[in-house]
Amino acid sequence: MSEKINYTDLKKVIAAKSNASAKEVDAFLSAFDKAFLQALTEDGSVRINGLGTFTRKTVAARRSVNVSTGEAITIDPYNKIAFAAEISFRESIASAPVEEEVKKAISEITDPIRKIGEQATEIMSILHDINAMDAKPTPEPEPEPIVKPEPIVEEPTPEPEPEPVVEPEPVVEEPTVEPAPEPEPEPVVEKPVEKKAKKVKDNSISHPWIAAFVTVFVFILLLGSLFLFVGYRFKKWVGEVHERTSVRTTQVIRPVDITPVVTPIVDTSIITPVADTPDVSPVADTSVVTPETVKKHDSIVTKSVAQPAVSKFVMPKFKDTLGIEVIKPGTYLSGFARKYYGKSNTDLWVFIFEANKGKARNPDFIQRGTELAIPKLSKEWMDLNNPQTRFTVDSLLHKYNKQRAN
Amino acid sequence: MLTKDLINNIAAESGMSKSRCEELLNATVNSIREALQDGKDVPLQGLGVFEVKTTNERTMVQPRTGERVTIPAGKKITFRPTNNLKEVIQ
Repeated sequence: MSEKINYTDLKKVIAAKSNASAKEVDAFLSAFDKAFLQALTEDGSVRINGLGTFTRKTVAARRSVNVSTGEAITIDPYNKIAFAAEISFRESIASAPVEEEVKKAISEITDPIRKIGEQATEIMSILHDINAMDAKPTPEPEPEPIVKPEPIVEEPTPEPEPEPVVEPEPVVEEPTVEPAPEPEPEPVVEKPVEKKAKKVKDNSISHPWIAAFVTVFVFILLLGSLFLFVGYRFKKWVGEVHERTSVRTTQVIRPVDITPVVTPIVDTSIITPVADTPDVSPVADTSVVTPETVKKHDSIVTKSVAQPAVSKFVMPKFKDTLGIEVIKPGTYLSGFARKYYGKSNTDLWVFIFEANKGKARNPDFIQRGTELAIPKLSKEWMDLNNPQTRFTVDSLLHKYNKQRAN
Repeated sequence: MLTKDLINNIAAESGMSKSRCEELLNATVNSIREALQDGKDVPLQGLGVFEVKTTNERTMVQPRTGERVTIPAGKKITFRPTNNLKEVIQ
């Protein structure tokens, strides 16, 4: 239901339209009532041009149910008044835009603009606060803008702009600029004055909003780039982690050239580690021996001259354990190797991995919390100068590098 | 009963001339229409209230062709008689 107009107001309108007095209108309306009622009761219908037809209709008796008791009742027939508006009138009303829809459409357009405006004013106030934090007198003249246009407008003489503006200033500005530092009143003031004059000139609504838009846009760009940068650095710090739970366990990716040290003398009997551990089952040759290529390995080249060539891949037997280490973030196999086998023997991590073959698949990524048993290695196997050890270790490193490449 | 007859009756009741009654009736009708166009309800004391109601958008089917037609939301005029009037016509 819509807003209802006053009956008295309606009568006033009728009086105005027909140039009749209020009394006349009253008299007419009372006569109208009577005639209307009479017509309805006698004729059964009344037609009023411009409005429509009022008809008396009979509603037939019908069966129904008493809602509280549930028993069947009969509703008696009765008369009702049906009003059918005139067609042209009906159509003109029907096609008129619905108020709520119009309001909705308008609000859909204006609401976002209003919101942006509010945000813009917020941003502008923040910017002003930031500016105010710099202890310069430049923000001081800002409350002036209302005062400024007057001197420009009032001066009729064609003098250059700064002059008429500057003259009234010392009078106006003194009370406000008092807290500001004395040495730079005039030159600093002149600049913002000119700026203010310009600002006041184009007093359009869009001007501050455009500045606000640009500020917000730049801000978003900066934040976005910062976020990405931080994310990238974080990822780098964590490492290329596949699963959250696995921990990077290899400290250094060393390009290892596998071609073993080969010297003209081939005498397997000199290789002590093999002789020491007789129960080690010789494993089939897995590496390629090329007499031509000579690998440069610092320790062997500098320390020993004639080294027996090694071509058999032999693994040490893991009997005892030196201890158990748990994989945590920041722990790695070569670290354990360094700890248990010595600073220069970090490469021996391969044995640690081999000893715990069943627990981890990839030496680079081992599940957090995995317990590794550090095998006890004999002196020979701990000595990387030993060519057999070196060979085995290098073969294993080569194998892991291949895995990594795949 | 047609408008003309109604006017005759009004004239007879009130004692005003027919032309004057016609003028007043036209004025009445126009003011009612205007108010309804504005979207406001118009009361006629002793008789009832003309109300403006909004209709929702609905899909209707052409009975002949069977095609569906969407009728947009709009307004309609209804007349609610007073209780007194309802009793009188029984």
